[in-house]
Amino acid sequence: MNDRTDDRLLRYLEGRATAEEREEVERELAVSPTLKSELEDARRGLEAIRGLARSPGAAVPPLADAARATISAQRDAARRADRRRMFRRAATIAAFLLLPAGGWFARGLMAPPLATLPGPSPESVAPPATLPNPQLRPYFLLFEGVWPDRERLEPPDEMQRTEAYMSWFDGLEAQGRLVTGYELGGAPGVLLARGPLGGVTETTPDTPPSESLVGFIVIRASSEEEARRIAAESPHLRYGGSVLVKAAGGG
Amino acid sequence: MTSDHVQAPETAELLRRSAEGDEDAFRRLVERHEGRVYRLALHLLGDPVAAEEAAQEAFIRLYRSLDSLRGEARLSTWLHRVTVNLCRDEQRRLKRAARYTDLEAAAPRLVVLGSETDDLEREQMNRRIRAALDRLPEHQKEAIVLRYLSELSYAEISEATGASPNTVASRVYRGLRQLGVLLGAERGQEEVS
Repeated sequence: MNDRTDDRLLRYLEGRATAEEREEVERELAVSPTLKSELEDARRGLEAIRGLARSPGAAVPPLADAARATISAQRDAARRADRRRMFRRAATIAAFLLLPAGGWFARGLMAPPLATLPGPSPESVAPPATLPNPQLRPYFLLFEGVWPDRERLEPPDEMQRTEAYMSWFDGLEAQGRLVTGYELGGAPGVLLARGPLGGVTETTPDTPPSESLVGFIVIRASSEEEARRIAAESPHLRYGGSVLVKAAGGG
Repeated sequence: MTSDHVQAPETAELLRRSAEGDEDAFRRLVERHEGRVYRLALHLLGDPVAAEEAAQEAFIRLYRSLDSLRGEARLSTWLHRVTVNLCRDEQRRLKRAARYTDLEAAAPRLVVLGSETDDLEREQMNRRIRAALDRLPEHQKEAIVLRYLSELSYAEISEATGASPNTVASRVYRGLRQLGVLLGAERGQEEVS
């Protein structure tokens, strides 16, 4: 039985079949006791669920106030986070502006006198490799799921998996793409939030750590599309996890 | 059905005003859709507390998406999609949590809908149907709930679940058959005992 057959039988059952379809189904029912029995089962199921639908509905809790309170709390938290982000961004921009200047300044101090150097003029010297390429933006690759399943692998497979991750990270590092990264498995962590009375509440999330974020890396990429391409090659996807790609710093 | 499967001008206006920060407009949007969203979550999760949390989260996501939703043709379909996804996440979380903690937590839960009814027999029957519904594969249960309890069309269910209309119809039909088998078997057992 395929989807189309199911669809035809369902239309018959729900009374939506055309006259032609109805005749066709009834001809089949006349010669197939199996189909007849299956259709009777489906009819019993349909009557039951329609009976349930006719029953009075559950009282709906007032959601508008609760949603508004949560949104309001989240908006306050977002405003605070925005302010922090603004300060961090300002600090980062300052650092980026000062770093090249400082680097060149230091090189100038340590370099031998220009006259003794052969080769290109100082203006044509390439900037140091450690300077960030201004064309590349940072992207977060957030790894979700999978980690606790690690115990289930046999040792040779586990080693293979570890190698797959390590060689992928090494490749990114060799290309100058990898900025940083950490595994976040283990303890569930502590969730901080502003409580209704204004104090900070601390709770242990009841979601097992396996459920959510299990690690992250920050990479440099020229566009979100490129970041997605890089993420698509991640061994994390091969091993059943998922990867969320997000540009850092908004935008 | 009371909600706007094709965006009513009023809903479009409420969305626009909500996006501009009008809290009263947002409250009216929530009130307009909360019944359907909550009941869908309740049917899928079978637990009033979890359903309330899922419904609340759906409206928080609505609030966050107000800007992008101004042009959305059908807000109710969008809300159904978000609610189905939230319920899927919650069910997955419960199953995994049960693996780590207590297997009993994964057992199908029963919830009394319309518990004030005097019709005890009907109530018992509803419990049986719910228990059978809980035993269906997740996609089949979802399709049946959306079709008969949320009263969506196959095209709308397709949009809410991401499956093609033919696949949705197949899930509904197979789910109904399975439901009939489960209820028939139960009736047979009762007759024997």
